[in-house]
Amino acid sequence: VIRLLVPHVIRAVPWWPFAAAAVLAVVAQVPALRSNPDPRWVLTGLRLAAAVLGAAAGFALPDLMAATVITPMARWRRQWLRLAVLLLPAILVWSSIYVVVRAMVGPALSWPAGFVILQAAVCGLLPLAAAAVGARYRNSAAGALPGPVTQGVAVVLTLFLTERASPWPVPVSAEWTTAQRGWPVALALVLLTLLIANRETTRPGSA
Amino acid sequence: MTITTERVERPAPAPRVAIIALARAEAGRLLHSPLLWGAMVLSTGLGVAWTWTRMPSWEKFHENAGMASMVLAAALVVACQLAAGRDGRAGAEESARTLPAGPARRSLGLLAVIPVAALAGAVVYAAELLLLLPTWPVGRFVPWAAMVAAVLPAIGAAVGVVIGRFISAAAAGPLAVVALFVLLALPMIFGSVGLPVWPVSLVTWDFGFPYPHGWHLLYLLGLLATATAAVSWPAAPKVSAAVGVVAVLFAGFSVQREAAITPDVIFVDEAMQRITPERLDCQVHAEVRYCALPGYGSWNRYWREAVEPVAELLPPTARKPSVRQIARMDDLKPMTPGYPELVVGEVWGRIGGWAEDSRQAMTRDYVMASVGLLRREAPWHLRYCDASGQHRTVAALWLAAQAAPGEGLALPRVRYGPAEIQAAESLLARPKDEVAAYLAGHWPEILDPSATGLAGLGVTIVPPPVPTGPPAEPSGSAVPTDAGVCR
Repeated sequence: VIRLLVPHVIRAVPWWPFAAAAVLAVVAQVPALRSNPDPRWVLTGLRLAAAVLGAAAGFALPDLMAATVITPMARWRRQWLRLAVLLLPAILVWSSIYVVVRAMVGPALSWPAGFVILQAAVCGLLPLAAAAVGARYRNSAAGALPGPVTQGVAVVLTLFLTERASPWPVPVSAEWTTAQRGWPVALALVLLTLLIANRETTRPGSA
Repeated sequence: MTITTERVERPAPAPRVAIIALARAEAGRLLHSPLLWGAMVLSTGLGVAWTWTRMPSWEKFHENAGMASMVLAAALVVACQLAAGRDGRAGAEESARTLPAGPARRSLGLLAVIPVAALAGAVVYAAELLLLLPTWPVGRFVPWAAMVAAVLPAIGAAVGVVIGRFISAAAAGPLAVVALFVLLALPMIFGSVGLPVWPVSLVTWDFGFPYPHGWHLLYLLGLLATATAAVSWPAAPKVSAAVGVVAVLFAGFSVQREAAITPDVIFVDEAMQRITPERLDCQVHAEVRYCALPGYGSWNRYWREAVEPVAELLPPTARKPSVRQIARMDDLKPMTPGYPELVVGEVWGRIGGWAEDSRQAMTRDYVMASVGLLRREAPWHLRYCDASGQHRTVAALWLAAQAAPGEGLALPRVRYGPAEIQAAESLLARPKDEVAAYLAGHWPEILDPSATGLAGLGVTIVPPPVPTGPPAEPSGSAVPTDAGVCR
């Protein structure tokens, strides 16, 4: 059934936000073009790319037609399918950006790859999880807005933490400070939220 | 069956009345938006948190308030994009088409969000100031820098409306925020020439160099006018186009002027010219002269709290070091040649432990300056030196412990051992007046690094020979942190 559904979902999901996000994600890497790139901006560019791709992918989650059609398929399958249709290209785009940036800045600039990828995963999946929650309650395009809004609020909240407490330490150290231990916890929470939000719903009108 | 209803004879409202009614409705809707209120709370919180630990100067406060207001501006881009895109979402196009006021007039009505946004920015700015009471920023208040906090949210709102008029999809708002961030940040990343493009002036010059905040505000107002012209374009295309073009040129010119005025380097001589002793705000309290940078006079009371307990213990004949505030640069020349002087910077803890730390550090530095261990004119005065064996070290430990009881026996930037601490403890065991009277009688010998001025009080430590001349200059790139025996 999934194989039958894939082409239709691909046609149904909004692609233009994703395309715009991909362009922005690439433009955000301009700091890496400098002759002696500043690690702060290079890392910010990578995180921003993940964040904007995730936020745009979230707009695929609200199923605009959900209220009008009865589908012979569990909601969680449909939601994960909608998610996968944009998340996989998003991961692909981000990975390519990462590889290119890594090659461009050269060995002069180094960072623990696993840690940066973890940060990017949280940045990208947080808006998806929030959009999934939004889509549970509202199957319109605005239902995905909690994604970027939550993301924005989360970013602002991390700005309250300064210096050592900041989850964005520069340079990224290989050892795990208290603030850095928050990242895997955040990833776990985000994935859990996604799992719960994509469950079956019994509420009328949001099937 | 036929139903007849009586026709209500109500004339269609005049365009003006309709636009005003629409404007009121839009302003009301924005005022009820959780995005607006949430962002106002976050902005206020950020502005206060960034200023919480240090006594604010107007310069720093405006920088923090401006950066915090960018959060509000970003939220307003999203909120106003949603408001302007309302017509085109969720299949509302057809219903919107039947409305008596067309898109052009509805756009004009939406202009009401701009003053609401500016008001929200002003409220956030005022709330930050109030939450930081009782401390009030010092230095020079520049109204143009203050207005940035209200203009930025207004720009955000206007840009949001423009985007909503062209793209009604909900995704456009958040994407626009990211796009604007990238657009404004990129010039900054590529060197100082692009710095004025960033909405908040982050250039921190040395004291007395006024930043062209006026040009920056004009640049922002140009951007606001451009966005406003774009909103009113469908209603009055020709006028709006003309205003828009002029506004873009104006904004470009202003930011170019701002960049042109910004010098690349500031030399020490030039900086010191602006804070010469005659320009400082000097007061004398209890024989100690305090000279604050213009506008920083209210910090006198914090310095007095730190200095007076030490100054009271010093012998009447002793030269009590002056306190002089400097900015970022220092030419190492005292106000009165040969007279001891302690310099303080532009940073002071605002509250609680941070304020305590500042006071404690200044008390200890004042002790050091009083006994000659910290001499402003010596270029090596900020390097560690070896003060063991010298009797002035013991006197300094005693002074510090008496001036700030319970804070331990500690002196900054000097090395000493258990013998000096033991000697200081033996002095502390004696009555305070007895030691103070002894210090008064033997002050010149105590200050002499090679003399044994405290021998009369049973201090037996022997000072090492004091080298003459300056310490060895650092060779190579590694700067030695140690200047050898304290001179």
